[in-house]
Amino acid sequence: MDRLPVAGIDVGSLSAEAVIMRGDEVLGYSILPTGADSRGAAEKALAVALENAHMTAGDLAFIVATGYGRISVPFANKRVTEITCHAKGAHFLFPKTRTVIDIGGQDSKVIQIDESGRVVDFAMNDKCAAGTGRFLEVMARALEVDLEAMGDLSKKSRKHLVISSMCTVFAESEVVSLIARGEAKEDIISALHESVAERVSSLAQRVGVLHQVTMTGGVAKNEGVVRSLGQKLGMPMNIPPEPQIVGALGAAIISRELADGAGR
Amino acid sequence: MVGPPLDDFGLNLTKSVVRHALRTRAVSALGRSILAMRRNAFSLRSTQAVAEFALEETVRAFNGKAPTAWTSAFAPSELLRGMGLTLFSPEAASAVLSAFGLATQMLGVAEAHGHSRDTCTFHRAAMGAHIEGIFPRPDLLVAASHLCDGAPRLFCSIREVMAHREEDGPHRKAGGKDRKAEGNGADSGSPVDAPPSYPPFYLLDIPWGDTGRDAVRYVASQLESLFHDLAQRFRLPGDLERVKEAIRLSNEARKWAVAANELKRLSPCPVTAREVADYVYVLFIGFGSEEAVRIYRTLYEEASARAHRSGGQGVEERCRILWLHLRPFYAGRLWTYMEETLGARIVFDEFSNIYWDELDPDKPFESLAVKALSHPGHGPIERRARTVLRLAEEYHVDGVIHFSHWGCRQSSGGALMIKDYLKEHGVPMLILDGDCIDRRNYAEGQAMTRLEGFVEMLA
Ligand SMILES: Nc1ncnc2c1ncn2[C@@H]1O[C@H](COP(=O)(O)OP(=O)(O)O)[C@@H](O)[C@H]1O
Ligand code: SF4
Repeated sequence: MDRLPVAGIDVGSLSAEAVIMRGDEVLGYSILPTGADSRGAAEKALAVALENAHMTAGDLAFIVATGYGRISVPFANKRVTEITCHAKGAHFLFPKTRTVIDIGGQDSKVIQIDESGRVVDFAMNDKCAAGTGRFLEVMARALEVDLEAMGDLSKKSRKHLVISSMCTVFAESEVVSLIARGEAKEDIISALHESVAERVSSLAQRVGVLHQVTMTGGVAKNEGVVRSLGQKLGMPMNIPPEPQIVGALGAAIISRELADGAGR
Repeated sequence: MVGPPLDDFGLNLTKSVVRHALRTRAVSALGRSILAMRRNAFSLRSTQAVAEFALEETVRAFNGKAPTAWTSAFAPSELLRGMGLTLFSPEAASAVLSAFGLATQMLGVAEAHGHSRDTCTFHRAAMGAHIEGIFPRPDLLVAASHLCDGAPRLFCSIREVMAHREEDGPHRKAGGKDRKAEGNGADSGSPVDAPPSYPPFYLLDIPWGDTGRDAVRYVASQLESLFHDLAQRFRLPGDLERVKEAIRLSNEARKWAVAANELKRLSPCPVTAREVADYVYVLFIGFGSEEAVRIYRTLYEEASARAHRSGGQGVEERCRILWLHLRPFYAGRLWTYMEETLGARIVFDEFSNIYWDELDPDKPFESLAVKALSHPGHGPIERRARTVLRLAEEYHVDGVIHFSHWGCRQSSGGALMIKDYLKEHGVPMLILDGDCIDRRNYAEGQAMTRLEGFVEMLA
């Protein structure tokens, strides 16, 4: 049964991803901006992933939707939270994972899992954007740099600066005044990464950080945050080749399990 | 607390309608018709009885002959009921405002009068409602110092607002009594000083973390002087027999409540917190009344009938939850969703815990002192943590959810420590941040994701 293709779709606040799997093999995936229409984004993400896998929707045995937009995926057979999906995905990629740190667009979460990938405990950031990808996006705009370039730039930092505000709005004005003071962009960026890492590491301490740590979500693509967070936690982290699809991957794995269970 | 949230019911009562309605006897008719129309919304007769009791008591607070005491949670209702006072719980009333969709407006009023957004919204909404004149006028205020530090401050501010009003001219009590006539005329020549036209505030000081003999004596003596002072000031009979009778009633209600709780240990649980959440009103001000006895006896009968009838068929109990603190009163969907969609049943909530032993009617002050001191949330956090673990075990729950209500230091402050303690004992806990009263502090999607994630983890 486990040979039938299945799909996982993750409709996040910022990006929608889809993963097509058969057995342990990922046949195709996609990452698209979510935009205002989450349903449309889910459909498109699935279509692109199917295209990459050279398949059609009719080939799929089961679809699991996750992410904050999971309710707006009417064609999914089941909806599962991103908490369970990130745990599944991280466990699949790095079976020794005990702690998953996912930093996405508007959420950051720390998930503790057991040897079999089951969630044991988790904590999520509170309502505000501190310690999330959105925080970094706002700052990238204020600094007039590309989000993707932030990680590289921060490597060149020579001077230690501190951003003290947690609040995105106040932090942005701190950034503006640092620019006005003539501070180098790379130093400011490094301080911003520190700030995100600080916030997330205290969230992680609340749950307890067990070795190995795997980082997922779009912010794991930012080397600067990865470096800062690793230092704060005092241990290296596993970074998946494509951290942004881990939620959708987990959803696909659950699809596979459920397709088996349903005998399809 | 009038049953499940009324906004579900589509009642869009405006502030002024409520105010005018409450100010006249129409409240009774209005309330009764709401209750009648909503009869089907009550899955338990006893829950409907809670709503009726709350309504009757509120009508009495507006129109009744007896003085009205505003009380904070965990003030000694038996003593006050035994003295024949009408009780009004501003905290419970805030919950009703929230269910009616009126809390945000009231919060705005209080905030405009300088009440910080950092304070508990139960109190801030009550303040706004008081400023707006929606609540019945208190003749006295009684708060206990244990657990919640917000209530004594609220009551001080309430008096201040009233004192300022007096400066602007005497205040007519809504409904029946006219304080001007009472205060300035009839009281002259009374043995007590003419009462000020704003109400006395009694604060019971419950020593922190001390439950020994001295603490009991200290609290008991305060209760005794409260009794004598009230008797004199309000020319009440001062008959200790009636207080003893209230204590007997309290014991009787307690007995049925304990028996009903015992049934909640069954799987599937015959009544869940979704149905009995409003009994917190009875916990706050009902003990010592005949209604409380009736309510809990009916609850017990209904629960045991269900337990016998169904034998558990047709109820999905994917996991059993213990809920700590209260729930958002405006968001009726939350618990329905948990139970009906996720199959997670809240079999027990912290406010259903009958934490005190039977009282001794022959030692009314002492036993009420012991009751106050025995609250598990009073004193070091380990006490509450141990109680939570015991409840988790007794009610065979799979997980515990702490609803961290914004501004509630007493409850949310220790949530992480409770979580760690439970974790050591293999009981998972979710801390859900939110606000029981203010929907502006609530993001449904986020709450649902956390709840769902938690249930996926347990199931
Ligand atoms: N190439 C990249 N380099 C650095 N950061 C990135 C990159 N791509 C995405 N991000 C970060 O990831 C965040 C989005 O993460 P994602 O997991 O897609 O969120 P969501 O699941 O909420 O849609 C963005 O806010 C951004 O900070
Ligand atoms: S929620 Fe907490 S702070 Fe507010 S009234 Fe209740 S005990 Fe007091």
